[in-house]
Amino acid sequence: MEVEQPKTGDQDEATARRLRLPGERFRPDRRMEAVRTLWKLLLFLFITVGIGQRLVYTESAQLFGRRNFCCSMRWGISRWYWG
Amino acid sequence: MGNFALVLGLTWLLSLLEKTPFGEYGLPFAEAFRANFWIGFLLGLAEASVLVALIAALGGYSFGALAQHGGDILKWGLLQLGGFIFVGLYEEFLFRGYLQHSLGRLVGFWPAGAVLSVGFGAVHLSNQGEDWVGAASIVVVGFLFVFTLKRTGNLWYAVGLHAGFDWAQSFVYSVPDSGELIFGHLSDSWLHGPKWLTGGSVGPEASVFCFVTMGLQFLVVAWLFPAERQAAVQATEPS
Repeated sequence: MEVEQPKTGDQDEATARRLRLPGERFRPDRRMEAVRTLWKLLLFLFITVGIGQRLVYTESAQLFGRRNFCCSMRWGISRWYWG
Repeated sequence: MGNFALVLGLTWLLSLLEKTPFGEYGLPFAEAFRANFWIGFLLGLAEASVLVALIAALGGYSFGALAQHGGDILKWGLLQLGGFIFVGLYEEFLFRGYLQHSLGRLVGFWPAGAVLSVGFGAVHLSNQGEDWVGAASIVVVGFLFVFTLKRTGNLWYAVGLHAGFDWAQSFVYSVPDSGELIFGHLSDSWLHGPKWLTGGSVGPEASVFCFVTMGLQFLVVAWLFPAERQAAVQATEPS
């Protein structure tokens, strides 16, 4: 029995559909990946800068004393600025 | 030190979650405090020295009398050195570690570097004595650090450069660093003259000569770490 061979045009269309499918699935994945990355970046910044810096500053100032921890009070900034 | 520990811990946690080797975020332990760090440190020291020398040549800087004597010179010198190594580690790893790696994957290496360098400059505006010229200078130095990351493959050179430059400014030349004066500086130095020359309250970072010395640093990094060599190293590394 002779099996009907698909025409060349049909083959091209089937191939194109196969090739297109992964691409279509890939795009939303990429968007989700981008959203996830941005979310992680914001969380990273919030923890390290938003919370962390303030927490470390407060703890260090309590531990070492504000004068020793921070800039010298002996030197007025105005001395440099207007000097 | 506390800030750096926080960034280090969080990045380590994220490296586990993302199943990414920790070294890919810019501070591979195998390279810690090796040749690139010390080359960077010496060049940071050299850059600050050239910068202060240029300001002094136009009459804008005087070293003054020693503010520390005997053992105090060693004590404060080492304390500030240790402190500035942690400043370098913290700021480099915060701005060019996980953030640069992840944002770089999203938008590309240089656009990520540009965004983070602008952020790097912007956060320094909260420093006492900082101004827009100083912040612009920090944006440019941010680009320099990104450039060293691109050429050397990690952040150790940038950490050394950062620490060397800050230590030389704050301790050796005893001038404000990013608008902040640090306790225990070596001398009672004096900046005098127009702001474009001395940087005013910001310190030499906001001097016009700082943009010149940073330009020289770009050339030195390009010369020390040619792009072709970096490409060859990456090609030979197992993926």
